[in-house]
Amino acid sequence: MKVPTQLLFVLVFAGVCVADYTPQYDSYWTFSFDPETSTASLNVIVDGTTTGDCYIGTYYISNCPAQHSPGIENVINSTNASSNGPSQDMFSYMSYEIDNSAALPVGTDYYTFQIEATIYCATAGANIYDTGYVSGSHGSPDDIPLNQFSGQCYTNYNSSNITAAHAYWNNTSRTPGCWWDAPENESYPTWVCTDSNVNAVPTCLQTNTNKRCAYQQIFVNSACNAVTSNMWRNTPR
Amino acid sequence: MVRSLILVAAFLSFTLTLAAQQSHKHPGLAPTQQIDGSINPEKIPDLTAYRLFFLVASTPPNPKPAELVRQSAQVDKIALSDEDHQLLISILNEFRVEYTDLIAQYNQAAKAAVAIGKIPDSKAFLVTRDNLVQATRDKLKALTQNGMSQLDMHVQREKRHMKSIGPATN
Repeated sequence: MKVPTQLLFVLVFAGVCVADYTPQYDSYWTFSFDPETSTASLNVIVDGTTTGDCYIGTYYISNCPAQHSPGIENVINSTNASSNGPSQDMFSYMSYEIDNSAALPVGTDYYTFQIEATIYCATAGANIYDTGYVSGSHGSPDDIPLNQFSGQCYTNYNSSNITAAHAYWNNTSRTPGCWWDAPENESYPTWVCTDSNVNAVPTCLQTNTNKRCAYQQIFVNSACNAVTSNMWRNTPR
Repeated sequence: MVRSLILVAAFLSFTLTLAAQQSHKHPGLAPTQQIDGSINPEKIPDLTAYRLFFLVASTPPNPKPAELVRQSAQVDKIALSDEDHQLLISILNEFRVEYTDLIAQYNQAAKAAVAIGKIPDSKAFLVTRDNLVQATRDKLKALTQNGMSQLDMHVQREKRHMKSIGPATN
């Protein structure tokens, strides 16, 4: 049977040009702050693998599977925890995390950070995955004490065991909130935040019985609208 | 016919050489897409986001004091009740043990496969991994309704600090 030349070309071309492996990696970085110890933390993780095989059609790719190695940059102020992880073949699963913590001077909660997560491919001689360099600052260097949210908190829960409370901006719920000192057996009170004039302050519901005395100062503009600030300040117990 | 075969063989040889030369850096690399959570957080799948959160917020067995402080600070951000706080930590740490074991088993098998010239099925492993993440999410139903809602809001917000690379979808 005579096979048309054109058909042969098509069949061969289709066989050699199919790419066959896919890097599948994820990364995440996150901040946290412990006001009791005035410690800032920054966690960076890269996690994933490469799927597929070492063939382009029927052609076996040389130096496959390649060796991949993770790298993480993680810096808080001048505390540098950056590191490279061990290399492994690309079809193995990689989960590499670098946690960094830095004690901040008491009364400050502003710090600079830099992060980057990469996967380096030895065969390619380049990063096959790169979050890019991310840098910035967390918290605020300014300490402007005035705002109506630093006023009193009151509760509609009757208890003589609740002592001092402080208003703050809850960056999680994006609402004003209250922290208070309370004995451990006080549970789930409902708090309402107000300013000293008991006026025009959005209500908040706080069911956290956490005994920390940390709070977050916020800035307000001349219309008394909150301009958020991620600032924590320990108060003496 | 012979002339056709010679032409095909020549073309084949040229194409393979060209492919190797042009794609020397990433031979065989399939098209991928990157998702930047800081730009499109909604494109980070929930299973991915929860997996990354579980990993970062959990501690290994026998944690050091600094690891406990970090974990507590992470979970505190979610503003849970004390009961939900403790329950979540327990679920997170259980996940960490299971996840670590799962990866160790897979990597051992993968290494053995590569040693004898076989290719491990990493795609199947990703399904197993995601099943574990989903099973852990199901355990979170033991939290209060408010706790689950707070947790989900937190994870959704954290997507802005996540980035992902995977198969191109178009």
